[in-house]
Amino acid sequence: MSAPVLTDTDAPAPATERPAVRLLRGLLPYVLALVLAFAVSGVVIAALGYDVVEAYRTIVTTSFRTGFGFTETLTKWVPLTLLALGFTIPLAVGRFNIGGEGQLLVGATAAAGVGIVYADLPTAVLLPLVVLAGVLSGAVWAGIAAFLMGRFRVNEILSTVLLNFVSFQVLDYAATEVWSDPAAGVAATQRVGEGAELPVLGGPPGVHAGILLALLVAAVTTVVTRRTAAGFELRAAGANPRAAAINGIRVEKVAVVALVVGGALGGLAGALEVGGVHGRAIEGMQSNFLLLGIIIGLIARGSALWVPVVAFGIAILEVGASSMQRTVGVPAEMVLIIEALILIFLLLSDVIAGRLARRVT
Amino acid sequence: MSGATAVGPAGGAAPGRDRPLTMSGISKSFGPVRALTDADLELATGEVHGLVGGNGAGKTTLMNVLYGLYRADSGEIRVDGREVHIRSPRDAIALGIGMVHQHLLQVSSYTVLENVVLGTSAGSGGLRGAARRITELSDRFGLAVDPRARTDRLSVGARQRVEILKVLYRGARVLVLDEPTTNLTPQEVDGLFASLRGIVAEGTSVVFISHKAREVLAICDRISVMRDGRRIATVLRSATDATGLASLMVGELVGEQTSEVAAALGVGAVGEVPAAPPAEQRRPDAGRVRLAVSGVTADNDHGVPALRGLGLEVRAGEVVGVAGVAGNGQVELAEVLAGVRPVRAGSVAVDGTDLAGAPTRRWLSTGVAYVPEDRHRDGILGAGTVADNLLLGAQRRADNRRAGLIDWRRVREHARDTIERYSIKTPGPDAMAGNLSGGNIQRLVLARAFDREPAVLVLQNPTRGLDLRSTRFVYDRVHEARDRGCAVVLISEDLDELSLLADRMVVLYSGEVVGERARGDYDVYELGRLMAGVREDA
Repeated sequence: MSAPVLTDTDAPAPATERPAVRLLRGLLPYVLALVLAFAVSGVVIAALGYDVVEAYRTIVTTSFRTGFGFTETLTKWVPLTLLALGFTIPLAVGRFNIGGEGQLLVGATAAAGVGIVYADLPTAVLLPLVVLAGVLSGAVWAGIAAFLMGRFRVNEILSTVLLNFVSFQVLDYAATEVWSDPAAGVAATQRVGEGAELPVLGGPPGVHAGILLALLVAAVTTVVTRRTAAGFELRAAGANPRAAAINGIRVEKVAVVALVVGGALGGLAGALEVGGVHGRAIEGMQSNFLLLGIIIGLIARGSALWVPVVAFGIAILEVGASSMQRTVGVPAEMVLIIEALILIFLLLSDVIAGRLARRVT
Repeated sequence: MSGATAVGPAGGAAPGRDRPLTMSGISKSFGPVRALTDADLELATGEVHGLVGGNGAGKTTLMNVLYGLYRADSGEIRVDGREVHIRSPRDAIALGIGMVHQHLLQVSSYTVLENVVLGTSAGSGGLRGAARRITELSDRFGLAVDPRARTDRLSVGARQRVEILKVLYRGARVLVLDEPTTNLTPQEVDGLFASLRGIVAEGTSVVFISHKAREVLAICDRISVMRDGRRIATVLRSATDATGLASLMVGELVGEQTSEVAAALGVGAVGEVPAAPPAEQRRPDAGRVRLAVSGVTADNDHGVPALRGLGLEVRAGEVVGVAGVAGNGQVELAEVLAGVRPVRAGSVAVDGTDLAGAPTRRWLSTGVAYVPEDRHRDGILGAGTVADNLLLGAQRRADNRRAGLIDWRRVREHARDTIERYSIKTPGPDAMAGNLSGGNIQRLVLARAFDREPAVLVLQNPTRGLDLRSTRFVYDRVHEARDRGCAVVLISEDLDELSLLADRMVVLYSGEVVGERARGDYDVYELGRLMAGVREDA
């Protein structure tokens, strides 16, 4: 995947083709990549001696068959979307935020800390504080990498990855020394106060209200990148840093801000996991959200409009995978292979489309 | 071939019937673009054959086919009457065809000797024998160069001589030179021409690619004119003149336009004062000083000082040309004047405000507009739309925004209007800018610059690689800026362009202004000496 395109493919179109035709043409490689990825994985599953049809049926239908499945899917969707956006926003300026899980963990730790220390405060006060603590600490965490990048040109890929390891220790310290909960059975902090818990929508089982925040973030990101001067500068700086600088855009500053914003979203994801899912910060709560966030961001080609959609698809696969493992016995990791194959085939389709375009014209 | 003036080889040289090279029916397409359509060329022994035409006429493509860099879709090449198939430069070299490219491809840390023998089997005498042959060749043809010198220490002119020596060393009988005078001082051009005369006198044929009628007329025996991928005509040097050649090159332009284009081509600037200044005899000293540069010191990208205490003043309505051989601080000067490159010392004042150290955004808002040399790299967002690119830099201006958001409807409207006024060839505001041709990208960059109503306009090599129409368009815009009272700095390696446009000329050498001449008060040799670093008082 090359640099993200400045004008998204789904931006207002020139009137050369009918919008519907354009959309179909744009979706075609996605559909093909999806079909191919499932086909190849099917061969692998069959080779392993499992029932392919049953495995796929489980993957696809789990999310929709029961309320629990759907709730789980939506709950997974929240951190996936936020981490994907936290990856794609710096990516728009050509910077790689590989620190999503560190930002999530630090955000979760700070959110849990606030939720524990001020456990007695009412929801109206405590909940915003918890969310704010997550956002700010995520921003600060990414800010370390951003500062090193802006000031000393330290490669942000290295610094964000390395900060992930530091974040494990931060959470470990909080979970075992500061607010440890021996009764939890795993390395985890104590539970936050009731006022720190996100209200539940619908149900039972229902989805925590963090989903609204994630939706809002996705919408705001789309509007900001497309319609504001700051977003334009972000895209310009990514498309051609030299031309952008010559035209008065401070590329390095834009990159620093983008990385900090990305970190803030990671921190927000951490706070929402604490307030909406676990009620505490737990070691290992980052799951494989970072990796999936990157895959989502790349499949969506950096488009803030498509990230939530792709994230939903990935969440379905993830939820279906654990169910598949339980019922059919296929290892849940198989789904990671499917996701990776989707991305690979999508990237291949770029190459192929390029060749075709050259041959046809 | 209809309408072509087919003429025999140059009278005096009388090379008889032998044809070292004939190309016929050569066609070549790149995707949808037809670069060559049934092009042909015939060389005589011992002639300098000019190959002229505007940009995109197909000159270089035709020669790249000959040199095996491109495979033609169809057509036939004959060497000494025998049909040959050239699949790679190796084949071409084996057939005695050598080419010197516009951009010299050399291993810069090698010596001249090593670069010359690179890719050849050292032969009987080993390296020492090779060195002797190089010295012998360079003496014989006046291609002065020390075989033991490291290539990166040499001037552009000397490095070009190395390339020619390399071709001769391999025993080429056809030498192709692609725009060889770019980056040479007038003295070096004279030296090159003298060497070429010596080379053809020994029976080698030279193809001299150029878009400058003046140079072609000065050196060639016969001249083939290409246009739109075809050879339009071949004429004897003795049977044509600058205007005749220019009208062949341009074709459809007529009358007054032709003479202007001829001027643009550098016709009539043969070592003398160029075309008369514009009729209205403007007095450049009448305007107030809009740009005042003093004592500016700045580093290049590698932290090495590139500008050393440079001073320059430009008045309203004045075009100041900055001449010099590439690599003497032009890029750094342009970027300092555009507010992109930080200065170590000195001041750059625009209308009395010192902008040194201020962020680029302030330079823009104070009225500095910059047309960079490399328009693809520095000028546009290739993946952005035309509208994106026209907005770039003005995205925070109040008239482009509504309720805090960019008013895309207005931006597109404005883009449509600009596309029309600047005759940018594009499907519309939403087309990708990277797909535009070079000339249209330059129009876009100029449109953006003028949209800022600049107080100071800085241009670097603004017509490089442009066809005649776009070149003329750029010149018209420069005049327009000047007439509006803008202070224009034109940094160019093209002396003809500078002579045509500049009211005053300064020469940049090694990061300093080493000389200044008013319009009409110099000849190009004098400038050449300054460009080569010969001091005024020497």
